[in-house]
Amino acid sequence: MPELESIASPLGAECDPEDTLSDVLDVLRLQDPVPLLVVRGEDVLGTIGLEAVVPAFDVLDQTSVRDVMRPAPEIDLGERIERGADAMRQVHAEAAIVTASDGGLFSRRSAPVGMVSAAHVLGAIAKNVVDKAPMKIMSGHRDLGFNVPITPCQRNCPIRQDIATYIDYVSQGRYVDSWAVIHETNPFPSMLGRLCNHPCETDCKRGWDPGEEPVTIRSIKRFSTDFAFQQGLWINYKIAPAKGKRVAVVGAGPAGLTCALDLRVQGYDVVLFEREAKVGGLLSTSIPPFRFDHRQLQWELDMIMSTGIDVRLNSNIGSGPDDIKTKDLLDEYDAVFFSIGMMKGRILPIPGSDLPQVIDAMSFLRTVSYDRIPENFPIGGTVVVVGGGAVATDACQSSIKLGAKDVWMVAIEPEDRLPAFGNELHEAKEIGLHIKCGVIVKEVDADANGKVQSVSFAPLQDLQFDPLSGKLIFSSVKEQEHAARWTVGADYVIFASGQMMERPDELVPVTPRGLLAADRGGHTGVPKLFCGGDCVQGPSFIVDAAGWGHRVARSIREYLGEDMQAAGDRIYQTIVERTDDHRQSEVFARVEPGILEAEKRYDMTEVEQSWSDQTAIVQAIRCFQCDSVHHYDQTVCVLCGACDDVCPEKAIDVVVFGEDRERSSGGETLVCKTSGGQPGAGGYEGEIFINYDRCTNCRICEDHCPVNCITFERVRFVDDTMRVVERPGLKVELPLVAVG
Amino acid sequence: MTSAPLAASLDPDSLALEAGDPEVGTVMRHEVVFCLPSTPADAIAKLLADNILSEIVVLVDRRPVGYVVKEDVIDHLIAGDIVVSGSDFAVRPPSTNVQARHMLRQSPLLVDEHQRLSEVVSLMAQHERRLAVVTHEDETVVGMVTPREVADFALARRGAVHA
Repeated sequence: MPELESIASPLGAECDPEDTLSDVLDVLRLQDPVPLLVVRGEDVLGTIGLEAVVPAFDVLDQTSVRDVMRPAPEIDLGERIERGADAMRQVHAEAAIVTASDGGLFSRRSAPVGMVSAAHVLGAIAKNVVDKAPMKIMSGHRDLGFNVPITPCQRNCPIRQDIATYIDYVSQGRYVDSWAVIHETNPFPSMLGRLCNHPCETDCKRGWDPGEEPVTIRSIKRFSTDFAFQQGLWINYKIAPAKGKRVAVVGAGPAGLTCALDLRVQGYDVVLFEREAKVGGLLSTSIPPFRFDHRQLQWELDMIMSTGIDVRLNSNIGSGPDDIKTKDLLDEYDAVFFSIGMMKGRILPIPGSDLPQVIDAMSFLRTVSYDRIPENFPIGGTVVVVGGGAVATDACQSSIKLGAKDVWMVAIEPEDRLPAFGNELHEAKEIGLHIKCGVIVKEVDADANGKVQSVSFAPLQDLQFDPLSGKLIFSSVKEQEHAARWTVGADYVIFASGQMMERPDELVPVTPRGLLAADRGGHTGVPKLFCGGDCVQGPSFIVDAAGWGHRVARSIREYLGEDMQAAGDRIYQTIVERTDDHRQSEVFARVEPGILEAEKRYDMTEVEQSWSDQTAIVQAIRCFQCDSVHHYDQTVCVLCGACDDVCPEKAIDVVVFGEDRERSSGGETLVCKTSGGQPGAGGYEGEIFINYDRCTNCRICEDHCPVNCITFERVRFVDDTMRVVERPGLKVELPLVAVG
Repeated sequence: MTSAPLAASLDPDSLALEAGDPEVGTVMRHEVVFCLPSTPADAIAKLLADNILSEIVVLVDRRPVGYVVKEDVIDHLIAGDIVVSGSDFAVRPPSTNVQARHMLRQSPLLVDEHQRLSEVVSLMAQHERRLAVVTHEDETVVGMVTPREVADFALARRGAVHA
């Protein structure tokens, strides 16, 4: 059995206990993974390793080694490695000092002669390993995502919508099937069909081609949902047998609702706390009515609630006297999920910002969502909205529709860099919005009665933006010297200048940025407590919040001990569908949904118009169907290489063993492995690989295969969680039929 | 004339990151050392030792499902579940039946590549972790942050200040 002598290293560098971590950082890094000895005089007091840097990251020059060092037990050089490891583990040491007798054979004195750290012990165990197969190191994103036949749009979607499938179903006229596929991961298709920032379209393979534009994925989703709503359909969820575990979800926004639904369907008892008088979070309290169809949102919320989620409205979690306390939730429930969003608007602390006619955009939109006109709102007067993002545009349009005579949007960015996206700005300008860019708000002025009279702004020099994030670089914000201020008369000022998270209480950890502290799975450092959504990520999009809901539900299920691989009582199906080509689609261009004429947009009527069947089908046909993968009949393929030769995207590699063939596609997805006859005696043996990041499903390979061994198939894995039924309580008006 | 400072007139979330607090994607280690649930304990020890790690993420089908810490490997050595052999040249039988699945701890620390480094370090400290697994927005694993990367950044930051 090996002894410590075989793995010990010399004692190495030393430091003083009064040194700071900043003093020793260079040496610590240099010597890692072996820790430094902490020595005072002749005595070894302990050791300090690089791991101490993490908790002291912000205060390295104020943290002394003495405060964070670990003990260093002594052990004889002749002891076994296991004993040395045990000595370290018993006192939570990073290293042990190995000693040897100092003097003659019978001397009782010993002196340090070396050191053994955890890294040395691991190295000793590692010497056993002769098989290199388990050595796994991956480099970078592309190694992981490449060649997996998952579509680029799906890969970019935070909730992993099976986009290619639901679009294909629309192209076939199977609208209800399409809607059901959407609902597999998306509880709010009516909202996301209108308001999603559609990261899927950013990565649509159709858009990769020069001169081409991506498929209108978002609007196709809306079409399917409109159809299902008009047909009076409903989804019944099959609830798994009760798990006997209770989960509290705080905040009924898109993250909280998604998580609540996922957990409820898996048999957990879910209690949903919402401080507003209605569920939906920002969907129902921040997005103005002209952006979506309220009836459809209510329909989707009803489907979620019908699963048996216990909703507690007007229930705030916080530290106020009437609030429910986080500690009580943690005591009462098996897990608690905070998805409280960033619902508080930020009013910039400039002179005059505390006047009664000054409001933040979140409060303004919330009041409008309850069908009320905000206090002090000047019907027939002038409104100034400070900010240039989507919330600012909504506040501007809402102000116009509520009856303001003049509405100004004032932003620091130039007009072509305003954060508002899509047609929103264009729509707002059509109904009379005035825009002023390149100035920064300085002061809200009041008249003699203490009412808002005007707002003054300072002109700015040219701004610079970070090329990666597109965000403003603070150091470039400089006022123009000696330039006159720009002042606009105003009766009411709305600050759309960011949102803030309201921390419930001290139990919930926060980051230095003021957001709740959790990782991507929603785990916090507090047992039972999970956080996710905007309150962790910062202001983001609806689909991101829904993605958080799915991820945190998975984390909670794991935390509560569920076997995620077990099928339970679900019935699983594997669907293999042969798909058609969409080659004729190249003649069709991308079409955006129409919007209501400007003269009809002065009230809260929904602005975006729905599509006809014809438009939806034509747009769906534009999809490449990247989820359809090659199926080679291995009993027929003769490895002739015709598919490789004709592929216009160079996505196929036919490898015949014994032949020197070039592998240029970069593909690693093995789709065919076949042989015929005796290799070396006229026979052949080989493999075919595809690079699905290049393949566009043109199916020219299928056309040119001389033995007709290629087809294209889609494989889907579904379970019986959802069933599409007629909406409960729906009155269907049947046409009268004349009886002969 | 009354005047507010420039910073008071800006939404802090609309500003680009400061150089002193970069996105974690720019300072992470651009490789992911991982094992599978079936990876034997001695192979895990080798991965930890070779790559100077204290924790290793366990992936199934490219998705992080847990992590293993070096202390758990060492505890199995102490318990006699892992045999340390004496020579590099001996032909040896398998030295252990312990696999990652037997030491798996749930909930690896997953952070987004766009998160600020200060937030990630703060999470590592709160969770008492020595490994943050960095993910792309599509949840694929793209890198990792360990105390080495944190120290490297602290050294670079100090160098920049002194320069």
